[in-house]
Amino acid sequence: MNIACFTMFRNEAAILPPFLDQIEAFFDYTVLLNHGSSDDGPAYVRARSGAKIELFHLKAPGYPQSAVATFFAHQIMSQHEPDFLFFLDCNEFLPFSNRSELEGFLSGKEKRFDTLLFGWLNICPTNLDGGNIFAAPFWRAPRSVVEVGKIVITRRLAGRSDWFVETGYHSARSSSDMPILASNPDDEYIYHIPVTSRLEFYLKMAVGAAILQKEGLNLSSNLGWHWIEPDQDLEVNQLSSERLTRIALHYPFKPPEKPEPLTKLEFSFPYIYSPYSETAESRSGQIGTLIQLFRRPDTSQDPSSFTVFDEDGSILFSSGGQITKSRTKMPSVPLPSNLLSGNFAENYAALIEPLFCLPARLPATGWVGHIPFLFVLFRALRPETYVELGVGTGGSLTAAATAAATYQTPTMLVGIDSWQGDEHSGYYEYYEGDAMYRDLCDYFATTFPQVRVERGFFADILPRFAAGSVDILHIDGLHTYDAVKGDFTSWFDRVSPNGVILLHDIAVQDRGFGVYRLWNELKEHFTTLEFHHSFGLGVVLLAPEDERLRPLVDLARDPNAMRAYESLVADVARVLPERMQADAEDRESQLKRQLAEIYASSSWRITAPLRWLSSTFWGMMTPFPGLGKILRH
Amino acid sequence: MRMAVVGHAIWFANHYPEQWRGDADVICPEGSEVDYSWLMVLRNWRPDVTLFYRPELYPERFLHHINGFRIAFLTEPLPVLKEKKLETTPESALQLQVYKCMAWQVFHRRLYYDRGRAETVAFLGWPIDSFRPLPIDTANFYPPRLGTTRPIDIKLSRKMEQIESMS
Repeated sequence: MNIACFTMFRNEAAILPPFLDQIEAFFDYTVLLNHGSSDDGPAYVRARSGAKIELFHLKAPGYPQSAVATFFAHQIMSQHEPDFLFFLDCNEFLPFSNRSELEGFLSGKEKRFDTLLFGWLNICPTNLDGGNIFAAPFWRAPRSVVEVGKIVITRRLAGRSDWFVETGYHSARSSSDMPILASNPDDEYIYHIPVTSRLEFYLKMAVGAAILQKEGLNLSSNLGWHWIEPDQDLEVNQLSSERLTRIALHYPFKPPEKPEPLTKLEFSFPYIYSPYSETAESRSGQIGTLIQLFRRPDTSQDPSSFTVFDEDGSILFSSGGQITKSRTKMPSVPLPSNLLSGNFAENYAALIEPLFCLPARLPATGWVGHIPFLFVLFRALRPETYVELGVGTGGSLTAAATAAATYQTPTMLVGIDSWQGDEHSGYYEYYEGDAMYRDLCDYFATTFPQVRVERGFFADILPRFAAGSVDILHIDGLHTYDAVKGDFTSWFDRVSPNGVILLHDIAVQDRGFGVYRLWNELKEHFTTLEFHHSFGLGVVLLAPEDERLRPLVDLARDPNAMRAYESLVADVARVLPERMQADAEDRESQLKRQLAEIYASSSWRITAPLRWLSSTFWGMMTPFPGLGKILRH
Repeated sequence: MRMAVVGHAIWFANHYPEQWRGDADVICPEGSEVDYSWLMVLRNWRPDVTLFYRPELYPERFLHHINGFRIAFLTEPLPVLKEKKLETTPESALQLQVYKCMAWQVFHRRLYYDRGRAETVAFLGWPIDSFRPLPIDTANFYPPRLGTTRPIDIKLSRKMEQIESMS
């Protein structure tokens, strides 16, 4: 018998080691999909990964569980041909002592059903203080909850493509007329641990309530009650261990008014040998999840978009394009024909390899699509001076500094901006501009000291540069025709005869943008490259005969090759934010450090970061009455 | 072979006395100890071997993306173990706290400089691969020879905070 499993996890470091014990004991192949964990969870999985356990990563602003689970289910069924495919969360455990018992239970069912349904039998640790819950007995619910059971797919579905897995793994639905034959749950169940400790419960409750209220989910049928009413309990008095236990045992429903006596669970999980362990890491991961929920929504991202990638950063599939059935390194892009013949290796090193570099950090910027090409330019030109007119949040300047460090070029980088904003980017409030400027000054002073940030108007700072001294000039100031033409003409003589000039926004033709008009004029006189994604980037090569620029000039002279190259650059850039995991984790890592320091001391101090978090994010929490209390608690 | 060194450049100087700064196959990025995003440069650069001095300082999320063989040189002193108890000072206790951030599994080799602390290392359960002297620049760091005296211009007798607390 061949048994597989699919699991998504996010900040589950405390319970992952016992869960992985279960995975190793029962399953022949398992996919563990990390959805943005900021704790040690991925490291635990990585330590045990191999032929039987594979770790993948999901980058998604939302929670595309159905789409992702469906993709992996089809993938696993076709490539690994299991008799059964389980969908387990990290707090779900099988009620069998070993693999033989599981096989005995499953035997023959793969011939009779398309899916099996397991109810949840909620269990709750008898000790909720955060120690190893598997070292002590559990309380058990009087009966299993079948309304929200978990499915297991059998091999009968392997040849079909007309089914999908619903969010929550509660059922598989057919998208055709052909039905799906599901088993009755009978008395079969899996153990579900809704609450592992008191603190975990508070954090979980805060997250759950935030999701409910943020997404406007209705609380009909008592579902969702468990996130709201305990808050009222907290307001009056402390939530007692017994009440907390009863809430857990009846999850996701409200416990009955007349409580039944608590019953000990007889099962002792013989396949688990790793301890459940709450640490500063695991708790701060949960707090990080909570904070993410209160962040201002990123309107630049489609909430339904997602990307799944493997440990090497290779894209497995994404919502942006066709879902691929097999692993591909990147979305399929036709490579320029001239790159595939002759001096391929040289052109690859010059034009393609640098595209995969990452900037040291990635502030919000409309320039993101051109960052990969900036690395190409730095590698080719090895500039001594790079000047940027219009810095904003510093996305392109940071990328340029990273490129200079990566290729060890002797570059002085200068970013010039008034940080007042303009009619196109919008005018900044004085404190916004100040904050942006100060942040960039601090960042570059410590991280890339070869960068100078100048606050002022372009014309005022122009005299500081000698004629012919700038190797790369990047113009991204006010985008009216007159303004950009003024920038171009006034700075033109400062550019080296072998230099390159970049103009952003050549593809924008509304709201008074006039860069495209200047660009059309420049194209008549210079050798140029143009990219149309990310609002468009025009590249003026002042010295096409310069041997350093030969691969770029070849592209400029071959429109077909250039179109394909542009497509490649855009595709690489599209997944750049997902590859920039470190930047997204910065805030959580700060929390981790603070928690780690405090965790080493007394219990009084344990509450300090929670209070700090509560007060820091108070403003964001005010729309959600009661959550502050939970955090304070 | 491309080699990267993460740490203070002066320590590395003795590895490669022939002006390593001019070698395109050697990189020694220096950056902030507050924001480690500069480590992204190494990910881009894809070294074959990277030497990390004070490896406990660097966040794992940057390290495991760095290509090639990663060697950690642990350079901070450890307390003595006596009767199965660590004899810590405030300084060494703090260093032990910092070491808790060490992402051991990220490194292919972990070297500790002081064989005399092997017992402490074993007590702490550190996965040290071998004990070797630090390959530091002896032009700047060298032990005094027996029977000789070194000229002293400034003698640091206490830490600044201790001096402040005394005043």
